[in-house]
Amino acid sequence: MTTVQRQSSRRSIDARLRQLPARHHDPRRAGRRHLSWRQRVGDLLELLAAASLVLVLALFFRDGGSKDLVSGSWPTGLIAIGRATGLVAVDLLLLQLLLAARVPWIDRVYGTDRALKAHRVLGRITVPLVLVHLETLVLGYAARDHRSAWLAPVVEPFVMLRTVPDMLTAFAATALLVVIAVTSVRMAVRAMGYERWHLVHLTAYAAVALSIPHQLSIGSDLSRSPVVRVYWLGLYVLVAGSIVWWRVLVPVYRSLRHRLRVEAVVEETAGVWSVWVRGRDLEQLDARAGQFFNWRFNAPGLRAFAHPWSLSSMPSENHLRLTVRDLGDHSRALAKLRPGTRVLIEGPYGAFTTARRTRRRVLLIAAGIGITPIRALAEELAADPATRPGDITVAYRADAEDQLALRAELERLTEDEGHALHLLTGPPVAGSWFPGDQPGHDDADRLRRLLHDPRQCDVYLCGPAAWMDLVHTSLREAGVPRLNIHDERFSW
Amino acid sequence: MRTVTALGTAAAAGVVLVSSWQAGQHSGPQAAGGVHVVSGASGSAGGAVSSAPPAAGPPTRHARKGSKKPGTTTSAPPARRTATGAVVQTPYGNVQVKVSLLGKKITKVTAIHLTDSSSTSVEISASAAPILRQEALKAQSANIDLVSGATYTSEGYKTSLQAALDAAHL
Repeated sequence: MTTVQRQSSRRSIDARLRQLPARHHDPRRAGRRHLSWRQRVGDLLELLAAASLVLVLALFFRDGGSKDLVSGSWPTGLIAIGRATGLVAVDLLLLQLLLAARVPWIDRVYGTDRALKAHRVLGRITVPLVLVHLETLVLGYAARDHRSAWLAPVVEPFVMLRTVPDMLTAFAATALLVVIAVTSVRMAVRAMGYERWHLVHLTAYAAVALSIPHQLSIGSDLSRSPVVRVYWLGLYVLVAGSIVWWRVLVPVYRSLRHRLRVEAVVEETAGVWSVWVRGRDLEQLDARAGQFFNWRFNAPGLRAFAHPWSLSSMPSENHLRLTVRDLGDHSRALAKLRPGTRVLIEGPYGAFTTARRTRRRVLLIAAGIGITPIRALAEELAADPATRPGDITVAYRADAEDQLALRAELERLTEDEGHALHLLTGPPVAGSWFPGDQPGHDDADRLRRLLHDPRQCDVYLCGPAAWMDLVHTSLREAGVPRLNIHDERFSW
Repeated sequence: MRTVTALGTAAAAGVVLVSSWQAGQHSGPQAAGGVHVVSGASGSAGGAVSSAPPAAGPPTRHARKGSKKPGTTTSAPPARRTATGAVVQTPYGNVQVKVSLLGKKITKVTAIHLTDSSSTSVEISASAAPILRQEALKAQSANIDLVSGATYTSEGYKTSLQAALDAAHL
């Protein structure tokens, strides 16, 4: 818990670092404490998730479900399967919403990227479960009413619509969930674009809401005993409360409280712009280098959707800076932002911070626009009194020299203290994350030529997903432990 | 999750699931859980009837078993008879009634089972049952009005009653 208290301290990071005498501030000890905190909280969260599933199934079994499942009668068995899958599906659906609710504990422990990945994986289980729930119940009732198995799937839903309460909303919820699942296949997301996909995805809240009436009116499985009622009510309140609090109220409060406005827009290199945002009391945001916000600007093309963009410098008490490359979507609209434009933020999010550092020496690897969080991390690390000259090594990969955004800043940051900066430019090489002219027989060898012993380092990397996979492989080959490799993948 | 915690969690989950499974196997007759479509709504020959000599056991025992089969009647007019209606499943639990007849006159209607999926269901059917019984005695048939606010109970009541009367060839 000490780490949480430290993180939620009301002082800015540099103020904190300045006040702490160097000999008391050991990033390695703090990092180890942070790691053990993450493991403990992670274990607890996973334990609670598993417990919720076990509880749901155990209560179902105890109240006669296990008897129905093995009763030997087809209709009863099918209906019991339908009831059990329905219960598990609701439970998983609620856990899924919780994973996407940007709850700070989940975010700090797993990072936003991994929480959302878990959300995706759960989705691949939940939606098929809902379909099994629907199908087994339709077939089960049909068998009970002695309808033929061929006709049943067609006729029975209509019979249910007429005789069972709240079936219409339940069917609508199922249809919505299927649409959401289909549009979330990677190919579909790419075809639709992030914004349209996101809009469809928000209807998931409607889907869950539409499914509630039939759970209450017919699901005696959800209201049978006081324990069951308290459990479901508690879970619904927890999930709805988290969403409203963390996704709506906190962002709105922060945006109003800190009065954020665009101060300036600067072109860094061709197609790369930095936006300076001015606000008050920003140290209270507790934003750290390596984190990102979802940004919304009160300007055409940037109002309707929040975009996840990383901070490209250490946040100060009255300034934040983000740097964005023109990737087509709405990045271009940023270039036209006028000073004084209102800014709305959600965040800070992400666990890609120096809190994870357990080694004195740090290797920072970036490719392309992935430099933005790396640049911020380099600044925070260089400002840390525990960092000695030469401790930081930055490797910056780009296709050509003129694409090295923020290069001058990185040179300044590294030169003064004798840190190393390697600019790796050249067209992409298949199967390697280095440019073609780099000496060495494989990537692990090339890595060892950059710095003496990578195994003694904490490594932070950011870049395109396929490129990061190559870096990861070579780091593991060079002997860097998995726990010392830190990355965050934003290509969800 | 770390290995030790994961193993501990898996073991605990296994124990809880197995014991609840066992508990479920020994659980008593359950109120119908989940969704249930009203079945047997046609009501024809869905009941069973038995004569009620004083020494005979509770008629419902046979009646429950035979609820899917055509009823059997002993014709000894004007005898005192009872007939048990079909078990009608509703979304809120099963409904089943028994009628007592003297000759062709309905003298008594007893609810053997009423909706019970939740305490609300129990309350609703408990308040509706006396009204439905009064109406049935007055109408001397299953042709009775639904009690508002207790539609499922009323429909189940009517269906089960009609099945009992059918079985008694009334």
